[in-house]
Amino acid sequence: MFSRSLLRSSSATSRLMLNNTLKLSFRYQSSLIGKFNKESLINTYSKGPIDLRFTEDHEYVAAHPDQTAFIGITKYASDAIGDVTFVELPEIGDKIDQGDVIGSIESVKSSNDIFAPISGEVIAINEQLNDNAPLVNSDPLGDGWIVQVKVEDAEQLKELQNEQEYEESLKQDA
Amino acid sequence: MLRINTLSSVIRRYSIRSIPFTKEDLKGDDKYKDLNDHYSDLFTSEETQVSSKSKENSLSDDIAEINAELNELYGVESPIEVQNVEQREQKPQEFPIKEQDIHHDIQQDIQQDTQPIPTLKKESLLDKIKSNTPKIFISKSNNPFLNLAMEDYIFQNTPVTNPFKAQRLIFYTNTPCVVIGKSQNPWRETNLPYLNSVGIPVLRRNSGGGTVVHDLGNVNYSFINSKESFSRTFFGSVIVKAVNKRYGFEKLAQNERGDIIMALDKKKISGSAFKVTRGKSYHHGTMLLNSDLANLKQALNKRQRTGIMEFECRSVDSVPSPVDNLGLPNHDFIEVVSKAFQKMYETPVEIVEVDEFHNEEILKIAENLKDWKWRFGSTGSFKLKLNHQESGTLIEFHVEKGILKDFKTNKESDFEFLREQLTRGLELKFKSDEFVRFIKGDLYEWIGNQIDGTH
Repeated sequence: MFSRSLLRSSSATSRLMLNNTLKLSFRYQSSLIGKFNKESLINTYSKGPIDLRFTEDHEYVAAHPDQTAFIGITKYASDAIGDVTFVELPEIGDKIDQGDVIGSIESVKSSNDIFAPISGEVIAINEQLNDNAPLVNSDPLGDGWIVQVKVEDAEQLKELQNEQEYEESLKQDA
Repeated sequence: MLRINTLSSVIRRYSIRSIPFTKEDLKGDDKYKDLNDHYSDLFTSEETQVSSKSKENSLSDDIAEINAELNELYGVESPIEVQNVEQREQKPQEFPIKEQDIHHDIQQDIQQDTQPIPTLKKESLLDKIKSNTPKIFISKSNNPFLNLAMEDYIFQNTPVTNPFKAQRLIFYTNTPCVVIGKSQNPWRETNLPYLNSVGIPVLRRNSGGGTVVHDLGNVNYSFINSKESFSRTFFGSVIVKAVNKRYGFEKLAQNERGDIIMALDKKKISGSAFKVTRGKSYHHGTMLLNSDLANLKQALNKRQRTGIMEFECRSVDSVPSPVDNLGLPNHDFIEVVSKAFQKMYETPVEIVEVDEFHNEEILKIAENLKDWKWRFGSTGSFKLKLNHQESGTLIEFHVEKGILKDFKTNKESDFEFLREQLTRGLELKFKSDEFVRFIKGDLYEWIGNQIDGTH
């Protein structure tokens, strides 16, 4: 959902304005995806196995065997948007369609839309983010999860990128 | 105080004249009735009555009156602002900011600079918005609801292609209003009792960030680009360079946060906010040119609340900064920045005057923008603690989605009727005209005055 260009310097963006194809290299020492926090609810919710999927909008879906899935943004995205100050969450019971805007993340005066990576029904929201929005930065694939949904169509999950594919797509862009 | 009120009432009278969209225009069109009534309500009541009364007397009487007041107060003669107003009044062809002229000037300049602008006569506003070339849109309205709706409409309908070619630059100027960020609490960020007393509306925008004040001396710009090219600093640097070139020296600078500031004393003259969605983004901002800074300060004044009023909420905080005016006339600023924008692209950049505010989609967005549920009701849960020192009353209101859900107090007996309403499940908006009447004794008035003064 977010692009690396958020980190570009202003002079770089001026050049970019005139040449949209210019890409700046983006160096990551650690994994581009971020550390999957095994202590957090997105892992401990069930005994697994967990199907971890990714979208082009830099969101992840951690699907459990009971056909529910946790949704959040990747480390890559949370680094790109900067310090998160507020997370606008949907409501429990909301029906969401793949691609819908289901909330937003505010960081440094910017409101960034969150999209539904899959269709389903919101069965839980991460209330912790109301008090501690920066969890999205510090532990995106863990305590910084955003919503849990009841998956409507398991086929949609299969069409999303797996970990290797997502990591590969990030490396290609870099 | 006298001065502020009088000058701002003059500004309001101007603004009424420049609203192109009146109830009369759409008479008989029931579809727009509510919205129109709203706009009428918004700008009528006291102000319009004053306006119609003074129509025949012309504005010069008012100005004479203001001058007399100012003489009396400050011992000065015809301060500059008023002189300008007077000149404009005497030469009506130069007033108000004539968008046609701006359009004409810029088009001429551009024609001189580059190739002629293609004339696309039968295109609708939507056709122009959907076209895949950079464009400039200049609003002919001064209505904040319509202008914010227009901006959203343009943003929503701007095409996303790879590479992105539909950069947009929008300009609009609003009558006095306060605009809070998407995730803010209007009760905390603005001086609601003051705003209600002078009839200045509060709007909530879709971008992040803090609270800003608009008036006719402020030009809002909005730069739409691809998501990939999103930058918090780029367009500010375009403005700084263009304005500095115009002055011939370093009048403006950008601080480390990307804000546009006066180079000399670092005072902020522009507030920015951003929106990023699939494929596109915008950076919009205010530009204080000749704004009423006393009004701005008052609108954002949190009323020396320490010890009396305390908020407990998680919404986004505004960061107050010392501000100043650039001093450039509105149309000069629009021209300077438009030229800079135009030079960024190889293709000719058409300038579109937006006057199609009867557009159903724009009206629908405007309708949502004025809905209390969006402006106030979408505020995250908060607690407001009030301390009436004279009577030793402490009260803590719990508000969810703008609705009064619960309260705690050390003087339960004064609040028994209010408790009864809540127990009955009555849905009370957190507006003093909705619930302070249920509070016993003299306290109701004080509480109402602290919250918003609408009772």
